[in-house]
Amino acid sequence: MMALPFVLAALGLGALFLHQRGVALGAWVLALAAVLWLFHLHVTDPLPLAF
Amino acid sequence: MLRTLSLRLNALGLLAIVGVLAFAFVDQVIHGDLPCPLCLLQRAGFVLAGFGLALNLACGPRASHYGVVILGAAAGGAVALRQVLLHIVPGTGTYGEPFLGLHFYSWAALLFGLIIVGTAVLLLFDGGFSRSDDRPGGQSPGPGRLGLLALVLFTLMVLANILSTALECGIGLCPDNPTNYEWLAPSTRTP
Repeated sequence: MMALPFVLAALGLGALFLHQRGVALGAWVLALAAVLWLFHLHVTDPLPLAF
Repeated sequence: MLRTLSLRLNALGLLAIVGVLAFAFVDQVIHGDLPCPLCLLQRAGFVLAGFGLALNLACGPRASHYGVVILGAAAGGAVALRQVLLHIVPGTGTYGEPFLGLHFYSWAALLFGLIIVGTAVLLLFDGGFSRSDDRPGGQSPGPGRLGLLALVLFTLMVLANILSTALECGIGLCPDNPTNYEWLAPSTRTP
């Protein structure tokens, strides 16, 4: 699952090489969403702050 | 003229991102430092930012492509800053070995900031979007040899990250402190 953003980016790059700009941008948006979702899953650790 | 210069700068920027990703790989392979989930997401942030530069090289410079760079760098920067905050209090530990006095996540936060500032500077030059360099028929001058090299190396680096991440994490989520490659046996590193 952690490889998902890279897979989507690779698909987008493949679309770029085929001059499919719209598809490439769509793959990039999905990759960005995947990064944010995975970040959400890994951001739940409490910060070790003490005052 | 400015458009050609803009394409060259985009190619150099993409090569710089390839260099960052390659350096992280060298550290992973030579020193056996397995990237943590947040480290992997920072790599993904560099890929997302580099994608905008790749769009500029493949389709010609556009403001929207620079927006892609900034959004990608902002996402990666958020992850890097989160990891800095996790270790900001003295005595709370760190992840990985420092490089030139800073840990990789601190370097990543700085680099993402630099990418955003550099992109904003490129956006200041309206001539970079001029189509005066286009060939007859409205054809873009293309990425050039340097741009093509950057595009190919960037693609190879993305593919290498797919392989490395799949080997390390398998099809699920990575543990917070990974100690071995999920799909490789036996363990490559003891806890």
